[in-house]
Amino acid sequence: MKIGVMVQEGPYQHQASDSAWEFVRAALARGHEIVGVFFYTDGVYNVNRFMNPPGERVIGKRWSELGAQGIPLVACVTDSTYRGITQEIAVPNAKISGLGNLAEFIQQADRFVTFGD
Amino acid sequence: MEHGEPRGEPSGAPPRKVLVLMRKAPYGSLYNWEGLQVLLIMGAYKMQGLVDIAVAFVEDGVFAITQGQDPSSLGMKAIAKTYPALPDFEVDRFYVDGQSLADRNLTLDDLVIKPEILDAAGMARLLAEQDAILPF
Repeated sequence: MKIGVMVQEGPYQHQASDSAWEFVRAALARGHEIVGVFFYTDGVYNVNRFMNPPGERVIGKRWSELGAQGIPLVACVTDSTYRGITQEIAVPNAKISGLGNLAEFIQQADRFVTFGD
Repeated sequence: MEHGEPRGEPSGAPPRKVLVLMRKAPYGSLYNWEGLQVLLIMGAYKMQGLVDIAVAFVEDGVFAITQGQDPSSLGMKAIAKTYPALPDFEVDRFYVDGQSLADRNLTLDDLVIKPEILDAAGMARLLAEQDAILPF
């Protein structure tokens, strides 16, 4: 099954970010295809490459590793601009781009799952 | 891709049925405002025949469309003013959960638009027929 994902909350503050990552990993392990992960509102903080939590999971790096497997990771450009997240600040496998990507993921997916508050 | 430029394949596939589900009060968090931005983008895709878009208001989400909002002291724009303009952007299917209105002592006369009122069964049917539900 083709699955699209949206993340609406930031890292280390809300369960949504971790749950989304766990969901994507579990779906891949089951043989599903993830058509893309769209980071919206505070979700754009998930792609910050400068996260450096001592001795803790590095949420941005984890997402980037999924991106390296070919899963499109897109952070909303408007929300990123509001929050000072630029392409230079983003992890290597994430792209800062428009809301149109969300519409594309929805079109491509059999199921669409949102993680937020 | 450019922000907001539809580029989906013009296939013969039927449009995806997408529902934006407004659950939260309009101020206090940006959820409702960001849901509005998604509605505007989806309107552009509807124009291309790629999606079918509707919006439903449930729980505190019904406060997003109440009349008389003045959030100027919060430094916010009045969200309710945008909803009546949505049909110009191809978003013209509005639903509201009747119980959520009743629980808040609201009627259609209190709202800036006239959504179709659904009971619990009607809301369940609406949700069940969607290809994608985007909660805000």
